[in-house]
Amino acid sequence: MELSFILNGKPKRLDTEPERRLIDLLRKDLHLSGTKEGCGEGECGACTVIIDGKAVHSCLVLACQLEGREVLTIEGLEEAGELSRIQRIFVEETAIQCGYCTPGMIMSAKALLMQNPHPTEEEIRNALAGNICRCSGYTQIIRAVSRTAAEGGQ
Amino acid sequence: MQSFIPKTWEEIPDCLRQMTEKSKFLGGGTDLIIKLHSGQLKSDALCYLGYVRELREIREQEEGLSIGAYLSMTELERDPGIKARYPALMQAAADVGSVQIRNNGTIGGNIGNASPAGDLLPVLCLYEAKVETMGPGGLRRLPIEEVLLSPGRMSLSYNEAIVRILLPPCTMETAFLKLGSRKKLTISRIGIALGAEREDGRIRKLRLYIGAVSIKPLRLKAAEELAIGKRIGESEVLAMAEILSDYIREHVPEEFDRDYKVWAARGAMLDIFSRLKLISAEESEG
Repeated sequence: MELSFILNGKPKRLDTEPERRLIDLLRKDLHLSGTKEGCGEGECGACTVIIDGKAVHSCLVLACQLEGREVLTIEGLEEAGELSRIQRIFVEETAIQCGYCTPGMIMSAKALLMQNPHPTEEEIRNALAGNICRCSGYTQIIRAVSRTAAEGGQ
Repeated sequence: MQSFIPKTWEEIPDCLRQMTEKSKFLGGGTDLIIKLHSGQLKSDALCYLGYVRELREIREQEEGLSIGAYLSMTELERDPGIKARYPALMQAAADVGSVQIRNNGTIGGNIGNASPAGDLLPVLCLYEAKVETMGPGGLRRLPIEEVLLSPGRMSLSYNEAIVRILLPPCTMETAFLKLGSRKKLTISRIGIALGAEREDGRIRKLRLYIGAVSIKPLRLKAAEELAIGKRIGESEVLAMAEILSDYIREHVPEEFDRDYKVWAARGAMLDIFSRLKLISAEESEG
């Protein structure tokens, strides 16, 4: 099938299979390997991307669901070759250890801040409840998201 | 794999006609995609109706609220009309999985997946929802309880799409409570949907549906009857909880957390009756 959608702000057109998962489209077909696959079942949140302003699992979206939609991945956050504010603060707050959960964590946090620029800690915890970090960095992660909000957002 | 992806309402029937018994409807995909990807489920074609405007709308109608089958859990949770008049549906949608699952999972998919632990199902039974479907022969409406048969099975034909869910006007106060193994991202171990109408402090009407204890939502009629005409005190709620515990003890296989559910039924029933402030301080006079 022919698919047209917006990827990181740019129109994208490609020939693919309707049952191709978004994560495979991104990683294997478009070589955007920033998005990670963890469980492949929507439990871990590592593959989180933003579609039309909402955080979703890229392992649970198929190509046939993407027509005309706007997909934002971790690669879309950089600004003129520099890390965006939320990425920089994740680094500064050591909200990152092995790094595997980080792209998903940041995309979930970004989706929250797009809708709610001044979240409470409870709202941050709720937004990140579907993202698992096995290096146990939750305290630093929540601190990084709070600080990003306090410093003017994403 | 083939795909049928209508963009408008008018294009749907033609897509349905091309489906076979091996074809699948794709909702949000939060369950189906896992099964397709693992090879557990084989399909020759997918039919995705998510681009059809009518299937993404919530509309007020004379006969009640009409909800498009492709509305996500997040959209249900945030809809002011649902919050005001069908709060148990809002609560059930808000309790599903994680933010990512709620953004993707749909009400039509929750019905089509027909999981015993489907969070919306006891609530849809509570509200006597009608499922509107479109088949090659046109539209029809069925009560939700007639649609759900057993885990993963519905009474609908392979080429019959769920297009809308109709909630008739509701005069009961309603609530939903989900008991899982932790606060967030949990699969329901007991879901309780409760509705009540009171008159002078006495129960005039009660509806009670339990999820995740049977192959489909269980209506606890014996407990409903016990409450009619009474002022409810803690002892009545515990008697109703006992009916639920007895059912679980008899029908739930041990490996499905039977012993936990038998025990947890008491607390869950007390919680949901308190949530609707249905328990009066003075003991009932029976």
